[in-house]
Amino acid sequence: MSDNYLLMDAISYVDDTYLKKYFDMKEMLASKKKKRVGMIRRSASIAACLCLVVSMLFTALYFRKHQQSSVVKPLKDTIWASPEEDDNIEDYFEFSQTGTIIITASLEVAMERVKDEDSTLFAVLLTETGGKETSYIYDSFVKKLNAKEDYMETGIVFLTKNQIKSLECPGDLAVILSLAEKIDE
Amino acid sequence: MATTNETQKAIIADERIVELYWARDEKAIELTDNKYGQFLYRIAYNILHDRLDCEECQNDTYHGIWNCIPPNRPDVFSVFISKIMRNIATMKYREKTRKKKIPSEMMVCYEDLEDTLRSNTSPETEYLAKELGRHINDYLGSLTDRQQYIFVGRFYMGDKLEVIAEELNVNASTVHREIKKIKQGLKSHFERNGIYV
Repeated sequence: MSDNYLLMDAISYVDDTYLKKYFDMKEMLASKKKKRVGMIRRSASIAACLCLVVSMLFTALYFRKHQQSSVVKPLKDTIWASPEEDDNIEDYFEFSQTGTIIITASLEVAMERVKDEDSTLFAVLLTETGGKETSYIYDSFVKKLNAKEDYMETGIVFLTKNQIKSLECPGDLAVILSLAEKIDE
Repeated sequence: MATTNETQKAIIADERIVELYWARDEKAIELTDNKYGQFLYRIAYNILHDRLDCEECQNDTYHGIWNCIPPNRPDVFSVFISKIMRNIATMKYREKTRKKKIPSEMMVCYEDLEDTLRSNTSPETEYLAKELGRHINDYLGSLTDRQQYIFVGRFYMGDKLEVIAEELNVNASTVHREIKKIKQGLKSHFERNGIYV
């Protein structure tokens, strides 16, 4: 009998108690493993759901932004300032006071070029010199104009000549209107 | 809780299988195959490494169980059938190695163990195997549950290190270190009792 066979035989005499313990532990380990795998699968599902939600959120935000920008940035029939017509708004700051709207020279000149009833839009840059919050200006003034605008992003409001002429300034705002320079896409 | 219920279910099912053997109902073999077929195959494969031999051993095991129950009524069915399968596979292995050398996971692990325990003398009697078995049992009693699990898995079932490591959710190198420790402990235990294999 070789030593291999001797050991093989000797180990055959391992007590049933240890074998039973082995089988019990094996079953317990298998059940633990099953639980672990289940947990990993659940975590993976949750992670996948989160990824889906986040990607959907980003897609929704992208489309929303895209939609908004297509509305507020009309490309046709809009008058923009040319670089040489650009005003230095700071020159108007000393004349600006609450409850009044100042129209800069470049905008004045552009308005003179079109008829009163013309539907051509002017890209107007709205500057408030009183130091009010942008959101406050938007709520108390811009929103009420019902005009196409991108005020929160660029400060630009699209108005016709008639709309500009009929503007009424809220008592607590000091506003300067100038012709905006075209934004390159 | 779930584990306890599952264990109870398994015990109940085993009792039912044993009852069917006692009633000489051939469905018992079918149920044994369904529940333990893969497990028995693995024990045989760890020893023989041959698909056809393993299938033959599996059939011999079912035949053996059929002949052993009754009169026996095993307390733990899985232990009972695994012993039968191991004995049959070992016999088959001996029969085959008489003709040629078979590379087997079981022999790899015994050669490994033998390297640790080897001395100049080589006793070859059945009595020594029993004595060795008794000392192995004494030694197993001094090990932790985890070490007992590794010992039985590796040296009785002939499982690969990777299989044991996966079951215990550790690295194979960790199991390797544990086995080395167990082997050294067994050697010391044998030497304390004046046994040199």
